[in-house]
Formats: sequence, structure tokens, C-alpha cells
Amino acid sequence: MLDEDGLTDEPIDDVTPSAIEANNGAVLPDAETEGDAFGGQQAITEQQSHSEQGEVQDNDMYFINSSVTQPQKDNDGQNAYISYLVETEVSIAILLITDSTHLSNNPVFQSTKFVVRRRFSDFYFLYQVLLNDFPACAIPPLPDKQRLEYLKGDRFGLDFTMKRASSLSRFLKRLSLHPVLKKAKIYHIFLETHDWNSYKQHLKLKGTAESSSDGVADALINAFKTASVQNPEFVEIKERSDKLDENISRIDRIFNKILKRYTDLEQDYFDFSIQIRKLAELEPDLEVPFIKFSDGLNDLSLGFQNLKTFLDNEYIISLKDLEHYITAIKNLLRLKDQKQIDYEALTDYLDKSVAEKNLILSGGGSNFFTNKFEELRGVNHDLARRDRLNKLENKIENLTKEVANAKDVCEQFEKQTLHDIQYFESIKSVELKSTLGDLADNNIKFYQDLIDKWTKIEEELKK
Amino acid sequence: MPYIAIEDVTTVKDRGHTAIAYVIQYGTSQVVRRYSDFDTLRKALVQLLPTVVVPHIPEKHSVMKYFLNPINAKNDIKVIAKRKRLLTVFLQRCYMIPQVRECVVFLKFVDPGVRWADVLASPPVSILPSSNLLAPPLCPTKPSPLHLLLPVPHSTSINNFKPREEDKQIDTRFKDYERVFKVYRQLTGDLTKSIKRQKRHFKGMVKDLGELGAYYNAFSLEDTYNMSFGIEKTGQAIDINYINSEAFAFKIMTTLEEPIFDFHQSSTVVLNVLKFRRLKEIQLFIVETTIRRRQARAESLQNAQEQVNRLSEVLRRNAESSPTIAEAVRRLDKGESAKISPLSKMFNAQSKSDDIVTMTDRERATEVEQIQKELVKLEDCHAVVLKDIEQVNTAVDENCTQQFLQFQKQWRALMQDFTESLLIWLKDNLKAWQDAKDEINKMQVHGSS
Repeated sequence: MLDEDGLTDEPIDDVTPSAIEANNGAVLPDAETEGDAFGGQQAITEQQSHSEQGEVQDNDMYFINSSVTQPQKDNDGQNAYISYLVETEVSIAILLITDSTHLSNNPVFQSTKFVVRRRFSDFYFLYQVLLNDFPACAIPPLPDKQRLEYLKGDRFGLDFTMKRASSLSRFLKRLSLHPVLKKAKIYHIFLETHDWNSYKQHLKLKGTAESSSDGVADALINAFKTASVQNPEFVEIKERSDKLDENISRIDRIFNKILKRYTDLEQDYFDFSIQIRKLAELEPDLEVPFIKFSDGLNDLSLGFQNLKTFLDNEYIISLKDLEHYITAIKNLLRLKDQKQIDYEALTDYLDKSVAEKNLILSGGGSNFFTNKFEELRGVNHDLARRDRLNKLENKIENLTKEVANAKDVCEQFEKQTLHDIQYFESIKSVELKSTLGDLADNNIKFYQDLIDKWTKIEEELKK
Repeated sequence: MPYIAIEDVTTVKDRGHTAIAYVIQYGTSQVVRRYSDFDTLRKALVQLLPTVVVPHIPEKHSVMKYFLNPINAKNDIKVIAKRKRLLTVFLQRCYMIPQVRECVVFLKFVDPGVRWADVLASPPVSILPSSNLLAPPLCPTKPSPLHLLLPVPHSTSINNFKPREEDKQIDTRFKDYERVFKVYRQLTGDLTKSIKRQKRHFKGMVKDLGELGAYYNAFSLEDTYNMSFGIEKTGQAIDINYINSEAFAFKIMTTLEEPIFDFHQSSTVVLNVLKFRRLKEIQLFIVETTIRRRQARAESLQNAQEQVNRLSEVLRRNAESSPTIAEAVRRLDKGESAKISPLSKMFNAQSKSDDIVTMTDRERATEVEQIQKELVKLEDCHAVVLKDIEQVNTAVDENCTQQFLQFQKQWRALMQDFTESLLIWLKDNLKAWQDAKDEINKMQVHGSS
């Protein structure tokens, strides 16, 4: 099934140079190793060799930093869609030669900016290409297609598109942190080119649907098989990802409850503020304190609103995105198991054939009735036996190759999966650090702003 | 002001039942009183001091509540703690009001040597008139006999009542009080509801935060060492938020819910005092109207007599020339009344004047005499009520103003208390999140880039 994936290299090769030339200033380093690595199995070895290099010495001295913002509605009417502003800054390290022999240890960064507009289907296209090109990677997932929003007609609503923008931003961030995916040419083109539409049309994704349906069939056939020998490392990885998944979804659930509380409190303090304002009319002597107090309560209400918006549009989305990524990792693990099951099935088959051959060689492998039957039909025993032996030997020869091949694939896949899980861990920690940081920042802002305001109110009240 | 507060809760035996009682620390002495004692004290004070805004006590259990939450130890502890808090406020406020502080009933209440049941069974409590409208407003235990003659207006008559011309100005003043305290009662009632909601939502959030903190802590255990500390600190920040918010939810109750409900109840008390003043005014109105009516009656009786006298004189003069008239005069002298023509009835629509016309001279004379006597008493009553109303107006005006000042003081205190609690909550939470942020910044992200 791996061989089916080499479908899309031709159009890419056709388009890539022109697309990159078309927008002069294509500074992204040419990921030449990946250029011809669209064949599945090749890709694995390439990726693997690459990442091995990467660990010894990081040659990838460039950083891609993208943001997705400003959702806007294009093309009014029937064909309206939302497009997002994708801004990318690429910093490339240039190692200055300080003297004739040594490279400076302090690279100088040169940065370039790209600004394009992309719609969700463009992201989806990018995702599909990556999915095909890098079967042994857990491609960071895109947000759900949220059919409910389509039905409700809310898909142009700011609330929905802002959430989506934050998810799409995270998708690009994850790609930029993935040592293999960050070099994918299609990713660079996506970020750079203004000719994306013509590029996309050249590159019709034929076969995508087929291969995915094949995957389903395979999975179904082997649904009840499990790999007999489990690498303990993978057992642990599986356990950890299950635990992580469980923890994240629990936290996600509670945050949704807290979101509801913030909404309630926002309303409560708004009401409270209004009622205190009415008292100001009743007590002219206390008008100023009452109004200040009422303003403070209104600020409290707004604070809860801001915190709620942050949780709703960013933090909870980030948890959801992490859950999706974990799902992708779990799927990858399942695919890895699949490879192992393939290999084990082949080995099994080979063993059986070898056993049969041995049986025939030792004079067995036939019984009285078959012998009699063959005699009746005038078949020469020896001839038939030799014929069967020949067939078996051919089969064994083929199978041995296949098994070796499958073993190779399986091992490579396993290695690549391990790498990818490492990448995931690394991306996850970068992400957790940043989302937890944001959570803390937003809370700090909430409390700090209110402390400033209420300290003034306290002074006012003491007058 | 000597120290006065409820220091402790104890139990007393009452006809075989054990009942909760409160230990009042007053100066150096300790007095044990039950909730029902406070209740009867307050009722007595309201009767004795109708113009005073007598502080209120916490409400009784509603039967419904008792039905829904039958005896429940935890609930009882809450109720008792709340009563202890609010009854202390009641005592301190009583002490702040000179009329109450000096009232003999109050003094006996805080006297450890006195059995409360005895106080209730003896004067002044036992000799209070049935309505405090029938007693001098500032000293109801010394009613004059005239007070007992006063009419007791029905409270529904308030709405139809129009003040006297000369009272219009002062009436507007009290109308303003009434309006303001009514708005107060309404607003603080709404506020109480909204604060209860706020407290409930806060408590809900506290519960969720507790759960969330626990999940983060579990999460931190799963992750790699470098990451786990930052996650754990986030969990800790949430835990601290949880504890702070729980304390704050309690503060919402003591700094907002109870004081604002207090405004609500005080407004109700003030409105009752204002209602008493209004009834007193109506009482005056009734006395005055009665006087006017009696005077009018006497006048019309006298007028009728005069008319009769004039008529008979004219008749006597004319009798000499007419035998018919002479006959009529003779009948008149005998005491027989003339047949009334239907025509005269038509013009005298008022039935009262009918009997005036048909009355004999002697009947008229006795009634006039009687009315004259009544009027003397009525004038005395009028004088008493006028004096009462003057006292009531001054006292109520003063007490309302006092209450306003008190409210203002309470609002300031309330806003300051809430601000203080809120700031503590904000600052502690800020600190927790700042600590978490420091730790998050230290998180080591493995892998390059």
C-alpha cells in the first residue's frame, strides 16, 4: 500500500520551480532531500536519515513563524467564503565567516515576510497533500469541519471564524516545529505563493480518496488481529497517550463548565452595577462613591467577559486541538501496528510454506487417497512432487523477499513513528508552555487590571 | 458604649425540651436568652416605642423551609451561627438608640437577675393598651382616659385620606420619606435576589475550580519532569483560586447579602413607623370631622328651633283673623305636629333635617345639650391628638433622618468591606498566577526550535 502514494510527484515537479520563481524572494531553503521523496517508502528512509542528521547537528537554521488572523468574508452571495490572513516570517541564520577557517557561532538572522490569504479548503488541501506524502508522520490535524455551524448558518460569524483562525494558526505552528514537515515544499508554497489557486488546480489530488478507502478496508480486515509482539516502548507510549488524552479531555470538560460560570458572573456583576447606580439617585450624598463602586462592578463584569472570551476562543480551542493531535498520534500508532501485522502474517505464511516443503522432502505431504486418486488419473508421482516442490520453492523465494521487505518497512516505520512521537512530544511541550503561559497571562491581566481599578475605588471610599 | 455581644451558644431546659439559647455578654455580666425572648422583646419595644425605628431581628424559620429541610445538624449550625451574628447586631443597634437603651424592658432583658417570663407578665408589658394609637406615642404605659376614647382608624383608610390644609407641607415631607423608603425596600429586595444568585454562581465556580486543580495536578504527574513543574504550578494557582474563592463566597454573604437584606428589613420597619404616623394623622382627621359634624348638627337643631319659634309667632299673630289658623295654633300648643306637605319633603333631601323638623322642641333641646357635652370631650380629645401628632411628627422626622444617616454609614461600610474582601481575593489570586507564570517560563521545552 505504500507504493500507491507516489502519485503526486509529477505535477509538483512541474509546478514547483515556476511557483517559486513567480514570487521572487523565495528565500525558503530548498528542501532538496524531500523534493524527490514523495514515494512512500523512500520518504520514510529519507525522513529517517534526515532526522538522524538533525539530532547530531541541526542544519535547519531557519525558523518559520506564521500567524492566521483577520478572517474576512469574500465573494458575497452564493459563493461566499471566509479567507484568513496568513502572515509568515522566516528567519534564516547566515553563518558569517569570521576568519578563513571558522564559522561564527553566532549566526545572523535574516528575515523575510510573506503575506497571503487562504481559505479553509486551502488548508485542507495542504493537509491532504502532507497526509499522502508523509504516511509515517502524524500530520497535525485541522479543526473539525463543524457541520453544526454550517447548518446553523453561523459559519460566517466572528465567533466561529476567530476560533477557527486560532486553530489554523496552531496547525501552521505545529508544522513549523516539526523537523520533517517544516521542510515540505508544499508547505513553503502554501505560505509564499500568490498563485496558489492555479497551483492547486494543476495538482489535482487523484487517488487520495482511493488510498484512504483502502486504509479503511485494511483496518477492517485486520480489525481483530493484534500485533503479537509489542515493543515495550510502544506499550508505554500508548499508555501515555491514552492518559494524556484522558487528562486533556477532563480539563477541557471542566473549563467548559467554568466558562458557563464566567458567563453567569458577568451577568450578575452587570446587574449589580446597574442596581447600585440606581441607589446613587436615592442617596445624593453618596452619589460619587456609589457611581465609582458601580463602575468597579461593571469592570468586574467586563473582566469576566474578557476571561470568558479568552477561554472560549483560545484556551479551550487549544485543548481541543491537542486532543485532535493526540488522536492523530494514536492513528499513527495503529498504522504502525498494521505494518507489524502485515509482516507477521507474511512470516506466518512463509513458515507454513517452508514446513510444507520440508514435509514433501521428507516424503510426507501426501496421503493414501490423494496418491490413489493421482494414480487413477495417470499422474506421475515423482513428477507431481517435483512440480509441487518447484512451485513451493518459488513461493518461498518470493515470500522470503516479501518478508524481508515487510520487515524492513515495519522497522523503518517503527523508527519513524518513534521519531514522530518525539517530535510530537516536543511540539506538545512548546504548545503547553505557550498555552499555559497565555492562560496565566490572561488571569494575571484580569486580576492586575481589577486590582488597579479597585485600589482607586478603595481610596475614593475612604475619603 | 459598653461591650455588648453574643459570645456563646448554650442550651437550656424548657418544660423537658432542650432549646438553644444565646449567651449575651453585656459589660461584665452574662445573660442567657432564647431566640423567642428576643422576638418578644422586639415586639414589646415596637409597642412601647411606636415612633422609634426598632432594630429588626433575623427572621423566623418559615414553616416551608422547616418542612423541606427537617432537623439537620449542619443546617442548624449554620442557622445558629447566622442568628448569633445578627442578634449581636440587633443588641448593638438597640444600645445605640437612647429611647431603647433607657427603656426599662430592654434594661431588664440584659439583666441576668431577671426572668424574662416575669417581665412579660408584669407592667409595663402587661398593661399595654390594645392599640398603640390609644396611648400617648412617647409614653404608652401612661394613657390618659381621653386616649382610650380615641377612634382607631382602619389601616385601609390610609389610601383615601387627604391631609388638612395646614399639614400639607409637613405631609409632603413624610410622603417623600415614604417614597424613598419604598424604593429602598424594592431595590434592596432585588439586590438581595441578585446577590444570592451571585453567591450561588460563585460557589458553583469554586466547586469547578477544585476539580480543575485536581486534574491539573494529575496531569502534571503524567508528564516529563521538565514540564511537570510548570503544570503543577498552574494546578496550584487554580487550587489557590479555589480556596480564595471559597473564602470570598463566604465574604459575599457577610459583606453583601446580609447587610443588604438588612437595608431591606430596616426599610420595612421605617415604613411601619411612617404608617403609624399616618394613622395618627387619620385619627386627628376623624376627631376633627366628628367635631365638625356634631357642631353642624347642634347648629341645625338650633336653627330649626328658631325657625319653629318664628313660625309660631307669625301664626299666633295671624290667628286673630283666621279661625283655621287659630285651630292649628291650638294643635301646636298641644304638641301635635302639623301634617308635612309632600312639597316640603322634596326640598329637604337630607333625611336628618327631616327628623329635625319633626322633632319636638324638647327633643331638640336635649340633643343640643348632649352634643354640647360631647363637644367638650371632643375638644379635649382634639387637644390630646394634636399634641400627640406634634410629638409623633417630630420624633418620626428625627428618627427617619437618623435612619438615613445610619443607611449612609452602612453603605459606606458595606462598600468598603466588599472592596477590601474583593481586593484580598484579587491580590491572592494574582500572586498565585504570577508564581505559576514564573514556573511556566522556566519550563524546558525539549527538542530544538
